[in-house]
Amino acid sequence: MKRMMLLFAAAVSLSGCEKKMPGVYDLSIDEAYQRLAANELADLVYRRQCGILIHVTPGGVRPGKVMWRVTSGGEDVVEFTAILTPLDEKQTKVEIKMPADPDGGEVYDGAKFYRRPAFNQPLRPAVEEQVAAILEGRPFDMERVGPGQDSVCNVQRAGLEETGTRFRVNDPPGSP
Amino acid sequence: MIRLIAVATFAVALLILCLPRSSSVYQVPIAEARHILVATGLPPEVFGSEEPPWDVHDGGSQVIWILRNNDAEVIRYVAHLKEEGPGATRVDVELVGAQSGPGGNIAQRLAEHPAVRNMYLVAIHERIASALEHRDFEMARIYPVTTIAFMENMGSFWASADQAEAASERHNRENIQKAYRDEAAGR
Repeated sequence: MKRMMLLFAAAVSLSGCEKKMPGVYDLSIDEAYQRLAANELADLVYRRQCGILIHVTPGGVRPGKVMWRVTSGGEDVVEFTAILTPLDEKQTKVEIKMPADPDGGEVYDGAKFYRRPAFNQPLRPAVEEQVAAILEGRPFDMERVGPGQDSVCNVQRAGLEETGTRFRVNDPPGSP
Repeated sequence: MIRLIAVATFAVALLILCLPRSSSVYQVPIAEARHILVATGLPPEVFGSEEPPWDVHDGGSQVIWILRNNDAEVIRYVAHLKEEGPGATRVDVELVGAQSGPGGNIAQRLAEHPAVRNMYLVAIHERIASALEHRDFEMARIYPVTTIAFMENMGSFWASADQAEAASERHNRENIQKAYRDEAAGR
């Protein structure tokens, strides 16, 4: 019995050693690229959008760069990027790059104010979860992201959800 | 599960703190208060960039705002005005949802979502107070309740087994999808 316990403990410790680093996926870089570069991030949009309507256009530069351009009302609102690096033939590391904000930090980092936000903040964890869900072939998991912290977004999203009315990114200053 | 309980407890605590006063007294004569409120619109932000069609009715001791969708009443705010001594007016507001119509049973949905109902009430309270106190509408006063309303909806994401919450999410998702369809159709 004692030997069994030792074997079990050893197995557990070995499984711990095998735990992958965050952002590393059991996919070739080509497969990872194909999955991401064709994806419009529908779960991310639904779960994190605010009161304006947003559209995501994926694009990429083979073999290791995927960009998502986000527009609203024909205007660019944000763009973020995934950098893919092959670790070996069957493993790829994916790193999310968010644009730097002129006021410091990065856009939508949880500390920024937007009159017509496109996404709830912080955005990075939600993008990382969306990318992970795509590459691991599983549903987007809100519990890994948590609730958004942007009060303006929450107000505008509640209006969209409850009444279907929408805000516009180019609403003139002075409108509600 | 512990996280869900913690969030729910926090939301309920905040909800209690943020419940609108049932009525408020303003240092404005009742005739002037009525005149001001009839000229006062809906609270900003909570109904979107494009306000739904609405109209206001002067009912003497009541001022009533009726919000419509496709010409059908969706909700109404009823402000009850009562003279409270010389030069002062007590204003009590209620929110009434339509029980049938294109939007379904709004009254039932509001009852099932007290945080959302509270958000609309707090917003109109602040709208009325700012008008009668001759000051700007303060968004900061409604942010806490809008956050709670959002968290209430978030609950449905975390408790997918609950039918009522699933229905709420369906309702929200349908509204969002309709907004995208309207945009694609140029409406």
